[in-house]
Amino acid sequence: MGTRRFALVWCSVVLTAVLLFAGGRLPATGAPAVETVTVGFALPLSGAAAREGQESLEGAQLAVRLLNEAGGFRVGGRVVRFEIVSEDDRCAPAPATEAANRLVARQVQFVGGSFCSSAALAQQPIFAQARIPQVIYAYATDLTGAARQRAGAVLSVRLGPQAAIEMAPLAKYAVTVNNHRRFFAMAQNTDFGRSMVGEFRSVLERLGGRFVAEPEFYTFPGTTDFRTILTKARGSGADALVAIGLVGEMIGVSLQFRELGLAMGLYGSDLLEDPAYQDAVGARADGFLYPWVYDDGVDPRRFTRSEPERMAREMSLAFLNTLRKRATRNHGWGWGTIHLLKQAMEREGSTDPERVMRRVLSGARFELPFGTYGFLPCGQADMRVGIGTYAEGRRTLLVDRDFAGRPPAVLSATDLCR
Amino acid sequence: MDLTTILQFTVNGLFISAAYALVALGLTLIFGVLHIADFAQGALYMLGAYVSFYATQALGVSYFVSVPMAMGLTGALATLNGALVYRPLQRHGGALTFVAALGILLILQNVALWLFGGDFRLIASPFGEGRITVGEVVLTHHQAFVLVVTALLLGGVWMGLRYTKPGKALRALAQQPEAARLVGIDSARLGLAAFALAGALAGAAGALMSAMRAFDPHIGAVVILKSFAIVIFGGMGSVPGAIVGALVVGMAETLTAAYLAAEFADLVGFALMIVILFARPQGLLGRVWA
Repeated sequence: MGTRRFALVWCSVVLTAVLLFAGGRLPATGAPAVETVTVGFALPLSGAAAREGQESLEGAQLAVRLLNEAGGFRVGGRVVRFEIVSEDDRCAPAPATEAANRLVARQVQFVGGSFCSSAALAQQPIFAQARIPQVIYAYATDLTGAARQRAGAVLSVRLGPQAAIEMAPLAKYAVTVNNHRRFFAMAQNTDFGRSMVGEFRSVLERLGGRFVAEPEFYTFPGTTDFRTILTKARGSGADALVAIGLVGEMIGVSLQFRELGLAMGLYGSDLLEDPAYQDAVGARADGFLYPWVYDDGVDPRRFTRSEPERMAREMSLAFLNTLRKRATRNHGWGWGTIHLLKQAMEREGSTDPERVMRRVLSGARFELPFGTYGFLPCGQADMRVGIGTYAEGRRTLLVDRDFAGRPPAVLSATDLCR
Repeated sequence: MDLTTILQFTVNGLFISAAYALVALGLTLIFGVLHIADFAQGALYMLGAYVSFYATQALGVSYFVSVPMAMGLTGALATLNGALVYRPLQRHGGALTFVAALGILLILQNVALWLFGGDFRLIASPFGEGRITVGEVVLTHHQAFVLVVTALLLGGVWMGLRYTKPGKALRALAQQPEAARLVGIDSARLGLAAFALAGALAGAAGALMSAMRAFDPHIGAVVILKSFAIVIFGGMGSVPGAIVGALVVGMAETLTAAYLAAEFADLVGFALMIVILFARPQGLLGRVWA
């Protein structure tokens, strides 16, 4: 009897302990552990490029909001959610350095930005030293070339195009399709402006064209009066003008180009596809040419697309349904950063920054707002852009993303890691 | 370069000078009377553009009415700044008003960014695409309108200061503040009048230029920097100095871009400022007023 009673008591104790143990250790819902990954954004939130920076941040915020509202995503048995912090780099090296240091101090795990080349170049060594992966949006060639090597920024990648990706097909289109060979060039005096003009010139000269004068660089980003430079262009004997600036500057250039009655072609960067530019300039931009980067399938085109842009459409719908507005290329930077990290984490089964970036740089392809592509060992996105124009004030796509690689080829992957 | 191109450069230079002259005149008035370097005028330039934009777009007001509306609102805001911020700080020294002016500029810029967003705006000119063309020299109807209105405003301020009683009192206050007070001139009221006038001029410049150039909340920063260099070049507190300085700097910028390189054009105003500070520290026409 004593033995039976002892056995009963013992069983009860064990059962209670098991129940208590189970009840204490396992959540009632059986939900896995949740991990929060902090992504810092260093962007121009004030100053001449504030709109671009704020839209980039808005893209990231919406992507995070939708992912988190859906309960996060699974990485190696855990649920991962994103959290965003941001710092204003004001599109200039000195405040960009301060912004980078603040993000390092806030112990972010990944960084998106900057949008501006000079700012991104200033930030790159800081993030490299802190071993924080940086997803860059700026176009200066050096960011995936010499500057990246100098900084030892092996964890940095560029999400979209660089100057060569934009300017090579544009110069090729000018010479081979429009027979524009003599160019007058103007640009903002920044790493962005100088890189873009340099890459355009390189391909132009390779195809037998030339600049009729040394490029004109204006000092203050945000400059709005370009009549004197345009008057010089008018008297230069050039077939066309290549002009590189931020959206506000390009609105000024375009309107004053028409005011002065310049009878030549105008070529710009993909900022000419920005809706703000389109709204301000309207049909006065008809015939102007630019590289198209972002395509959500809405605009008319003169070719059959080789690749559907699933992520661009998904982002476009998300903006329409949630914020009741059309998504832009700038939104794609932030949105793309979050989805690049998410896809890399899911495939790697880890949120460890170094492992995630090794996966990004493995050559695997990712679905992003600017297409489906992988990344070269130098960190450059191995993607291409097409050529677009305006017809009756409407954005119209002229050639597909493979244009630069068609004979005579002016761009290959080896050109992108110089 | 041919004559047509040179004439076009001259037209371009005159037009740039017009905007500088309006803002520089306001700056120099405030400095002459109150010895305040009011950088916040850059924000009033920007607000003038927004008032004109929303008056025409949202309220359907004629552009020609929107310009005086902008002047009234920015003039009132400048007066408020003067009464609520600068006047209490002035007794503690010039450095505080300088810091306050920069603070107001930044606050107004960020409030505008919050209120209006960072998108670029452009007012449709009532003159459309109309232009006067002589050979290949182009002057748009809107540019001509801006030049005429600027000339009228500058002439009006000049005449007002020279021939009206408040104008004479303002000049007296700038030249001999103690003597002016002794003869019963109300320096506080006149100081606020100087703010109102300067604010209205900055608002006018913003509204006039906003139909020619895309603008956003940061548009006033570059204009105010250059206008400040013009005021120093022309002579702090000198009305003719501000007008001549605007013309010299506007033309110098244009000719530098035309015959040297555009990258030096934006710096020429500051280079002129430094040269004049070495050669004639009171500025080009500083003696007339200061």
